Amino acid sequence: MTPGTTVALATLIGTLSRFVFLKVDYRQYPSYPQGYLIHLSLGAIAAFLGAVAIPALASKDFAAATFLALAAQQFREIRNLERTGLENLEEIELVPRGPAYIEGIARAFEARNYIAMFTSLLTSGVLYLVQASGLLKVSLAVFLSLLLVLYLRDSLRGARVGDYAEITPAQLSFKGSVLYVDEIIIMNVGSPQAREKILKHGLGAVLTPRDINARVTLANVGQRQAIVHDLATILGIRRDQDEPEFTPMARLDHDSGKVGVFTIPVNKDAEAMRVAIAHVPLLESAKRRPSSAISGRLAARRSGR
Amino acid sequence: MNGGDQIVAAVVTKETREKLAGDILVLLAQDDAELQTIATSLARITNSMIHELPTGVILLVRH
Repeated sequence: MTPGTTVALATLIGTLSRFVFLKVDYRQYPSYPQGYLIHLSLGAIAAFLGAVAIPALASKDFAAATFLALAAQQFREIRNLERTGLENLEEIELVPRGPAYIEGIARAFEARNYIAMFTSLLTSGVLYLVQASGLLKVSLAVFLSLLLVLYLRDSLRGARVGDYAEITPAQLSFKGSVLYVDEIIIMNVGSPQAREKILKHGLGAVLTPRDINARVTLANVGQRQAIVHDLATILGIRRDQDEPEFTPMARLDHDSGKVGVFTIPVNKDAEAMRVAIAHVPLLESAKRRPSSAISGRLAARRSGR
Repeated sequence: MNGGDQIVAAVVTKETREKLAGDILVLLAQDDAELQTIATSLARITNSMIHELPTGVILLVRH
């Protein structure tokens, strides 16, 4: 097999792996056709870089290998590109994603380019180094790439809010002008008409963290913003720009660590809300593990949580 | 809620008028019904939210 065929095949398989990830995560993906094209092209470039690495090294062309370092620099730009793009859109979102969610999405896009690169690196490595007949080598390379993609797809998917908290539908009520979700204070609503509308159309839920790690993670403001953003995206929201009363919110009860969530969806369906919250991704930047520290475990034991 | 919150105005009736002091725009309403209409329309105009203090004073706050 000529180096040219090796590189071409590896690039193709790497690009395909990028394509798989474009399809898997459609929910996080703003599905405009241009976005598909942009990320597929960048994925193809990444795949090409991964594909040439081993043939270049084997032919003692070390200059070509240093291009890999340049590539990593280039891919960091992808994170920037996604981040600025989404940040510019924040202003026109009725319920913003919040910086933590945006960072998570941007990182995912950068990481997926490395996947394309690794897959093509693996493919070209197998094609170049394994001594066997052409067809056997190709099948082995395809098989191994598929394994890699499936493995990464599972391990990169990450946890969901449902893994960290138990979600139960909750009662909305007013004490005076203060809105409560069960016993958790949400906000002060001064207008009687707004209060009436909230009681009629609003939905509440309470998130009970499963352990000390979940408690600290759910307390993160960025994570809570991500929850209300996804709720507004999935269930819709009865709100316009000049109606701050109907902004969905997630507020903390610091005695118990519970989070009270309030939203005004287009269709009032408590079960749909529960499922939507459970599927919100747990943000990398929100995740904390106090249980990994001795002092964290000690504090948790003493307070009984 | 990031420190950028700003009180736009207060709306009061005669009874709650004396519970306010300081440099703030105050709108006086005849009764509770007028209080609500003033508050609602001003909130729409200024893109702010109506809050009610336990003393009965209505505050418009831009969040």
